Amino acid sequence: MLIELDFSSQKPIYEQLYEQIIFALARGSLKPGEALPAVRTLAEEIGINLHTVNKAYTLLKDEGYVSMDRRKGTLINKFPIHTLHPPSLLLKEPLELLVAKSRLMGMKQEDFLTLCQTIYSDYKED
Amino acid sequence: MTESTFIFIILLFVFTLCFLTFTFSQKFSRPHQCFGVTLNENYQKNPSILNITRQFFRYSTFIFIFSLLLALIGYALLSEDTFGLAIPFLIILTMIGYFAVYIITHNKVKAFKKNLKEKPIVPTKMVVDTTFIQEKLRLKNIFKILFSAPLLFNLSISLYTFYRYPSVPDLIPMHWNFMGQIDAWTPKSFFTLLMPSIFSVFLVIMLLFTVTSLFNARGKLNPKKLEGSKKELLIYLKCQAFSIYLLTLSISLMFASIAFATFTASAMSKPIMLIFGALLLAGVLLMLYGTFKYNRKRSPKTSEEEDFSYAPEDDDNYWVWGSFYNNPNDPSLFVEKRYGVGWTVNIGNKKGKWLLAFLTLFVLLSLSLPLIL
Repeated sequence: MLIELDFSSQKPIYEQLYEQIIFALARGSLKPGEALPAVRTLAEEIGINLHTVNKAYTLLKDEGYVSMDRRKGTLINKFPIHTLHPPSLLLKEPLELLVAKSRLMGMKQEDFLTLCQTIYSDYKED
Repeated sequence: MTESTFIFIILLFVFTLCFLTFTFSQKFSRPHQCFGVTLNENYQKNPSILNITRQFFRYSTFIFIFSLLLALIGYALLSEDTFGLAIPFLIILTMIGYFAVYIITHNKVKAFKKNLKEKPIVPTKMVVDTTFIQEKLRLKNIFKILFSAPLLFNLSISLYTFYRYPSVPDLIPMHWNFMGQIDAWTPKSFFTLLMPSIFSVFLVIMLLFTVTSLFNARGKLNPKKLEGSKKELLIYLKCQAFSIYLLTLSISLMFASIAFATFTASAMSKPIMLIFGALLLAGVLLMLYGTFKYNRKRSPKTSEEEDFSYAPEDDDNYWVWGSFYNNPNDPSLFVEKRYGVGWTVNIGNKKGKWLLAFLTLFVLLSLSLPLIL
């Protein structure tokens, strides 16, 4: 797994870390059952506070992508992950913001859907 | 040859080594580091930087001549024993001189950077490869197993000491001169007999700790040639770890032969002295080879090859005099040095503070021990 971080970005590091791990999971560079690097190891490799890494891992755990085992560390769950609510309900809010933005930018519905399709199929191929 | 002459020759050798390592440290430093200040390679060809470098060479040559004079004065005026005791202090005095020269140069480069109209571009992106982390963890575990051999060896010598204790004469040798002949005796006690092996066990643990820290330290990968830089860095780490391992074997062997020479009240065995000298030399050569190879590969040939990767230790604000790294947010214990080769302790976190305090205590103790005894 490759993690790319931008330290000049407005986005907090823990959020970037969280997103990078989700991308890696969706691409399959990390397989279910495998462990994420230990919090301390990753924090030392990047040079950031342990809490920052912990925050990202906790976020991933809360959303059901990983589960924490006291001995084995942070393990990747089987896909599809279990969610309390149906995905359509969970994704509605973040998607709504993107749709609103696309409208304000003058994007057509077809163009928006094509973009979604391209990105989705990118993940399928890998 | 008298012992004074021998000490004098050793001092000349040490001072020359100090001068060479100190003066050429900049050549071995990471690219973008100019006397402990983060500076783009292009600026390093700037006339004022070249002028600062020339002045630096003049100053360090002056310190070198001064150190040689000190050695000569010591040789001519001091008695054999005082000259022997004075060695560490003469070396420390020279080191302080070199460090002062470095700080003067460092401050000049800092002032130069401050006056630059165009601030150098600082990389903000970083790539972390988890397979690289896994490989480092694997190597760390291998070295832990390798280190168990000298550790067990030293522990068994400690046990053997207990077994041999009754048969050892009441007066035991406690010091050998440079030629391996006994020149000081001490009454037998568990403390005096066990000292070498306990000290050796302690050193092996310290060196094992150094090796594991080496593999925990942050590896800066070049995002533009990821696989290549990963491989180079791993070879470099292996060279460093193996050279420390050779050093550990050499030390174990030396203390073992001290222990045996103590039991039998004999001179140091020449072949064994040769073996641990050879191991030590092999370790040093391996370390130099690995470092040299790594630095040559790492220096960018074109501006496109530059490793534009962010690391917190590239920020000047976290450094005191470009030599002490103080970043409380970074949990790493060791980070790569800015001036010269190797690693330095992060004094910003608790672990680093403890290590620094411990090392200072250790150095002070080992310096004062010969004075007390």
